[in-house]
Amino acid sequence: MSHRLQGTVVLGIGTDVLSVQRMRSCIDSPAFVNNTFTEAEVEMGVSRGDPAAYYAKVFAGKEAVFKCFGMEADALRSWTEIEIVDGGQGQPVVRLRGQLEALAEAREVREVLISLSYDTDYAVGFAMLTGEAGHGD
Amino acid sequence: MASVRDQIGEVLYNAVSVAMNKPVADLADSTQLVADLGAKSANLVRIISVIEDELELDVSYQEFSRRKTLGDIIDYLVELDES
Repeated sequence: MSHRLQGTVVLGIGTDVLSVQRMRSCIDSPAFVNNTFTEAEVEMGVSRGDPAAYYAKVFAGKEAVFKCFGMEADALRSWTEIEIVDGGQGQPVVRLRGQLEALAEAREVREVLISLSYDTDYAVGFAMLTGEAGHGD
Repeated sequence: MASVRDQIGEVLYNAVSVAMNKPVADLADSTQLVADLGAKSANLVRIISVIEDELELDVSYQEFSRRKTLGDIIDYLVELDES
């Protein structure tokens, strides 16, 4: 089912919440960081006052994005196929690679919108796939 | 001399212990990563990353996450090591 909004259709939505503490206990492993985050994400993560909170937001965002496609985490070939970086003015942007990029193209996804937030203990990501009305809906 | 299964099991137990903040003594082959320890995808990725690093194996997230108990996971890793 899709919803038309001024010539745009919503092709999928996804959300995820993640404990910052859970991420804190993960990023002490360099192997985890390298397998999960792109170079650009790591560059931004290490520059933050609290890298764990930043990485938790990005990880929640990645989970939200693949949920938009109706996928489970175990179908994802690599977490680095989803990159979430600052797009300027504090707005994060999503870049897809590999199978997800191909899937987005096949489904005629025009844009992947994302919103990330966190408070002391939890980070949340919400993502939405949009397409043009009349295409792929 | 420890068997390959024992060595792989030790690496897995240590990786799970650190990732889930549980003493190795509290873990058993029947322990379920998700149902008993509350592992989420971030924890699974961390455990897999450490195993890949230490055992030099290419572990599939999909195959790993399908195995529920530590014993099942060890069986999968032993198969992977032998292939």
